[in-house]
Amino acid sequence: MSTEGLERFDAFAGLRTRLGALADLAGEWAGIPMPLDGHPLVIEPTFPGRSVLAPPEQEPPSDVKPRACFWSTYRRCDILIWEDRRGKIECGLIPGMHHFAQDLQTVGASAAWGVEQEARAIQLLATKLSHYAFVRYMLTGMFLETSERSGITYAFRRLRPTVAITTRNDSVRILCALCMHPIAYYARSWAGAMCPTADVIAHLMMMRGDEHMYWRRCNQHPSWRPEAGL
Amino acid sequence: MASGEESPKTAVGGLSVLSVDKGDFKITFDKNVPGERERAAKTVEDLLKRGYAIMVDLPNGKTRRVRKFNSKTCEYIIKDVPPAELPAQAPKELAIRAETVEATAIARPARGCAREAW
Repeated sequence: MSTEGLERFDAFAGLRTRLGALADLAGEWAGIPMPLDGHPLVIEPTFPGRSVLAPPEQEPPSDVKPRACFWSTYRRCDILIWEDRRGKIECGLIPGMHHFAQDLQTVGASAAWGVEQEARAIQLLATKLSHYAFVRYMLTGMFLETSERSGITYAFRRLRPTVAITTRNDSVRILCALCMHPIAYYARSWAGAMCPTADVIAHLMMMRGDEHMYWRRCNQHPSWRPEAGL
Repeated sequence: MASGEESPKTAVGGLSVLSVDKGDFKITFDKNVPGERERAAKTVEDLLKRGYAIMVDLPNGKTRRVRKFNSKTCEYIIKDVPPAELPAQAPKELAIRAETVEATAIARPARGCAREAW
């Protein structure tokens, strides 16, 4: 379908195509993440257009000295402790992310993706998986694969972090949830700059190709953190 | 370095690059198309220079990360990591003809779902 035709159904198709053309000119093979109002981008630090596309990172106030930050399961908050400029110790709370709020943000950020891109990524994923695993992915949005090298089983999930599971000694234990998006993601959402299945392919191929690097490049969330998406 | 991996007789492979605006697009190393191999070789070199991780599906069913690329011969250089139970064994370098295998290029990641900075 032509771009004009697509624009009748998808208001962002034109912008997506133009960003793609701009990326080709700039030699950015993986494209340029689409900026969306109300969905700040978090971009990979070495990406050339980062300062233009993403809001600057917030620095802590210069007159306070951070002392500690830890998670309270009881309060479902991060507890911050800091020392103010008079040397007094203060504390405060940052509420943990709410699962449904994160889901809603993801729905909003999904405007960045097109069905065409997702369809291509699904076709590519189909070439990487067994028929059984691919059917599981299409029907449930997740599939399992066990690493030959480490014996760890990974649950690759669409729009959620990958869950690393160990099944040693006849017990199943979640090691952590591994969160990673190529190039960029939308803050406070499950959405990456790339369409959901492209993110799943990135996780799968990095796990298969270089498991150490995969773990290094992911945020590792303990299962009890809300960011794990469990 | 070991010689090239045993490869299928027909050139079927290519490199799929995951992309924001295309989902993915494929680069091929077809000898029959003039200039295509040279263009593809330049692209792969640029991808590696920019920190992309290229994962290649080997004919034996394993997947390995590309460490280097020989643009003259269009060969991926990989390290065949030994199994975990044999850590003392040094990894072997292998050269694999790019047109015989499927590979996937992944851009540098931004991690994800980080805790709010304070």
